[in-house]
Amino acid sequence: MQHLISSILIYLGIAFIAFGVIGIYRFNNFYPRILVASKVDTVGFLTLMIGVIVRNGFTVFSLKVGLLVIITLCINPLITHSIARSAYYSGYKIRKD
Amino acid sequence: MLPILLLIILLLISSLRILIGPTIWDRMLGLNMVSSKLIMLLVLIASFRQQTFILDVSLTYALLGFIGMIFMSLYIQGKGRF
Amino acid sequence: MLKLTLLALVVFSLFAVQTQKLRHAVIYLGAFSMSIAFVYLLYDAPDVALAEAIIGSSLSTILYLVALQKYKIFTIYICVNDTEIEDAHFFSGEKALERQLSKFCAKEELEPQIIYTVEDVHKLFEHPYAIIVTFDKQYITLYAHPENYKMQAMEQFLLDEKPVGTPYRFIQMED
Repeated sequence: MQHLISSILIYLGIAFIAFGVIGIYRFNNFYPRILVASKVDTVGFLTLMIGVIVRNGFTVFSLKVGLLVIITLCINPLITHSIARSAYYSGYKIRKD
Repeated sequence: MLPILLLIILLLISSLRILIGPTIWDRMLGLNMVSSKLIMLLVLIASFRQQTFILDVSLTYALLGFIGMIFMSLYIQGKGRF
Repeated sequence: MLKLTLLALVVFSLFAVQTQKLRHAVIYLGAFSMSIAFVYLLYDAPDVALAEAIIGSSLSTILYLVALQKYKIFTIYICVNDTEIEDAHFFSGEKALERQLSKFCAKEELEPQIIYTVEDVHKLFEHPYAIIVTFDKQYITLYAHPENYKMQAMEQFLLDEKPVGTPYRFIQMED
């Protein structure tokens, strides 16, 4: 049972990541691309890590994975924000108001 | 083993964005995606092989990749100065 | 699994060698160091992978960027006439002029930073720029910053090269 739930969660996470990868080729502007990539990637990461935690049960392994989840939840939006901010302040503007 | 293979294929597809990206910010976005997929891949491999020390490598990746990306975007925003 | 990653290694290292812009080479090397750390891990050497992760992804990136500070950045804004920029702009149209400007920068040992924008020219003057390029029916106009002392050399270079289509017009801005 535990194995089945973890497998479903892992494949769901991979499906989310695949949607993100499709998204960065589907759009042909920079700002929509970075929007799609950041959101869907973080959701896929979270789902896949929960799947791995369920697979292993309460062990030291799961504790480390939980630490990794917390760190990445802080870091991933920060990196995306930093890239988008760098593009915006450099004057890379794609649409007239 | 199938999730690992799927994830490697996704990693290769998203690393194509580094090579073709028209602007430099697209390339940085591709690098960010590749690094996050690599972290997931390391966790999956550690889970399948039951080796805890691979998780340390992935933690190091997460923290140090963050520092590198922040430095790169600050460098480009400041027109060549930090 | 291993062979796919080795393929990525070859591709990234080739791109890092052949590119003309040094900051792109830094990004390719970042991706290269990530893939090679994964290959070390697959060859059952996690200690080497740890060292490669520390050195390759943070330390060498920062060192390369600090070394690139010695290069002068040549900021080129290219104003596009359409209302929205799409990926097609980067592969056609203004590409010929951009390639010539990149060639000039490589010859004078400058580091080009080419930014496409739709913004008005007068708003762009507030940004730190070296050259602003605008397109209209009669001329391709190149506005140069008052402190831009490479303008003479660039004028000579562009006139010697093959013309893009419409004639150039060079304007040196004043304070």
